[in-house]
Amino acid sequence: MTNNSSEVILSIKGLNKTMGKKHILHNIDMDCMSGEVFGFLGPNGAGKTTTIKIVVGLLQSDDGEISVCGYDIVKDFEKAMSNVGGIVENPEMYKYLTGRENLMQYARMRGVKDKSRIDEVVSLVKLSNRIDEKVSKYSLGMRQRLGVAQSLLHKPKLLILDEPTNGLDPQGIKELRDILKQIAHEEGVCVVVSSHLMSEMELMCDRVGIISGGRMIGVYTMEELVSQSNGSLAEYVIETDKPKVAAAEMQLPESCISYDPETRLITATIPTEFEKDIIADVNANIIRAGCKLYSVHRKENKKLEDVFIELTGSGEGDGQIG
Amino acid sequence: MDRFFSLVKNEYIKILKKLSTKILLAVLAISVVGLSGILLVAKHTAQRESQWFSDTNSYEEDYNNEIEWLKDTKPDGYEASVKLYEFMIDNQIDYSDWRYDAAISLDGLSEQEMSSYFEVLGKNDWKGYCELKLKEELSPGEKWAYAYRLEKGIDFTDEYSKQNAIINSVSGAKDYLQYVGSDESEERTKYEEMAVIGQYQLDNGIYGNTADMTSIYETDWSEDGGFWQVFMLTPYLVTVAGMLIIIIAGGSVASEFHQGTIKFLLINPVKRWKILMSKYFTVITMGFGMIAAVFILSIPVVGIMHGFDGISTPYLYISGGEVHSVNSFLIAARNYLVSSVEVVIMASFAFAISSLIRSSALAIGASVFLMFAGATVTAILSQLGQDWARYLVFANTDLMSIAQGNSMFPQHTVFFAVMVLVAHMAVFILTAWDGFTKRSV
Repeated sequence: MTNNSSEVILSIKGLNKTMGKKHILHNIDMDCMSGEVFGFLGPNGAGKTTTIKIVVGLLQSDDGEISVCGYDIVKDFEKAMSNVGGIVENPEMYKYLTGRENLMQYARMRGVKDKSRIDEVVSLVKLSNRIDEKVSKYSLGMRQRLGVAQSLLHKPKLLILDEPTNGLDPQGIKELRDILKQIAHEEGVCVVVSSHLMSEMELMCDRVGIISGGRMIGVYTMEELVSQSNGSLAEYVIETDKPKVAAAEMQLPESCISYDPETRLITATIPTEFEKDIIADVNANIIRAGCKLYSVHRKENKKLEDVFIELTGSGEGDGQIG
Repeated sequence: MDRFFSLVKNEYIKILKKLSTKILLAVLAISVVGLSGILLVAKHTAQRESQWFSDTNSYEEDYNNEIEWLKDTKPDGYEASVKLYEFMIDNQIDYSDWRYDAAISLDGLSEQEMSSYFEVLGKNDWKGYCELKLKEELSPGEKWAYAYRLEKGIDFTDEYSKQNAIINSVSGAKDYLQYVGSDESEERTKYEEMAVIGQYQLDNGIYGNTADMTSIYETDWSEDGGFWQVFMLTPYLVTVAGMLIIIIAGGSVASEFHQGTIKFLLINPVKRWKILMSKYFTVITMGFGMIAAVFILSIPVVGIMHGFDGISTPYLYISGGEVHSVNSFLIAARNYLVSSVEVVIMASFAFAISSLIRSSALAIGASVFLMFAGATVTAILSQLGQDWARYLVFANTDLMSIAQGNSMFPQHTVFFAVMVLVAHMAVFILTAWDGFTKRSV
């Protein structure tokens, strides 16, 4: 999906952060490009929000270099931040002001002089008919939309949204997804979205960076993840009348076979490379052993969610790809 | 700079749109009306008390009672006194007549001495009365007063009541100066000034002076002092404005934290110190705005409740041996400004605590407590001979007293006070700065 002229918008190099004695981020490296939706994925407590807070200047890093559009976020804070829009954690707004008054606050801070831009972002997030109401009357979903409108106000080159689907209903999630894809793919904005839900990322991201235990596990295109989920191994479920005998006679390494005594099903894991030859031999061996072979059934591919859990669940996340 | 004022505008909108701010401003308006109202009640009470005696008997009854009493008890020379009262009854000299004071002062003289006065008083001839007086042996003040009245044609009637009040005070001051001799003392300076300013007022036809109208404790409410008598007390309201601005200052930073809006404030392309300074600038200008509003609102409120009488009365003071006359509004404005020093200090303090601890309740509580307890604690420390207390901020906020040499500490100069205040302000602002610009959010 990314076009050829894409450039690095957000660059993070060697980012470290400790809080008290806890080492929260270990050498995070990450490049996010214009025109892509970059998913920043990790379980709760992995360091997603900390990283985002450092990028938007809410926290100071211990060391490491971060630049936005080439501007260092510490040395050139104002220039760097004028290219950043975002929501960090919950979309807290001034509740006693109307939605429009809230947006006016941000417009003034960012030097957005064009009043029609406010109407533009408001209609983009479909808040036009409620924008002049006090925010105290808004639902969480509406506040989330207002937060998105706020983040887009000054046409940032980098849009960072921390768990933006929180509080949105399925319809709202779909709409947000479409908005994000649209501004990334059509307007060339670099959109970084954090989440702990792979299923959410799957539908909108072009690339995903996976973080766990404060370490970057890897950055993958969606295609890479999908092939990862296909994997180098295939699983077959075999149903026979004498599973014990069949399992023993299959002539596969024991570690590749599991047998469930309750369902009386054998699960065999075999390399995809010689998948067909091996499964043919296995079938022949079972029959030769005098068992009745009722069915052989190739299991569906692993879901991306499983890949994610596999990747992040590998101990303390030592950077090894599972 | 343009961006800075955008930030300030944002802060003003955030503050003014809050319901709590609207309530605070209403409290301020009520306190303006309230002070004026309470003083109106005080005035009525004092005036009713001072008029109690006039409602009882007629003056004739009083005089006849006096005569009866004299005849019963027969003190020395009572016949002359009886004659005096009979003369007053015959000539219908009641209490409000100028001749009442003149006649009563004759009591104790012989009949012979009285008769020449009876002649002039009987003809209601004030000039003759003054001339007769001047033939007597008088104190220098009295002598000047009668001569001055004759010279300027100022009789004793109500028409000249303002002039007569000033003549009396000048004459009293002159007598006091004669009495104490040439001793240099504060008291002497005060009476000298009184005499000089009184003379200036008489010469220039200015029959009022707002110089002595700044203390609520020294005001005589039984006399109607017109507009300035009340208006010169309105600087007391600066304390109310001060408490309100402390509440606003205490919430300015802390509320962003507990609303959670701080994150949205700080992800903007504006350095944190600029945001902090815009907040501080807003709090301080708003404080002065509220003080200015009290000043402006007090003009019609005091005017409507107490009248605009004497609104053009100047403030007279002596400097370099000469009398200077200043518009009283300027003096009132100066008094407001001097009172605002403490407000600025306490608002800065509240602001610093608010950014450091991020708790508006603590910031407000601590500041209000210090504002009220600080002065008392400093006074106690100075009484106990603890000279270091002069370095406390509260020992230095009352610049007016320090300038007049009324400080609790010896050799306390305005320069010293300003230095202490500046040092404290610097500490408060740096505290806020440090608390705001480096902290994690």
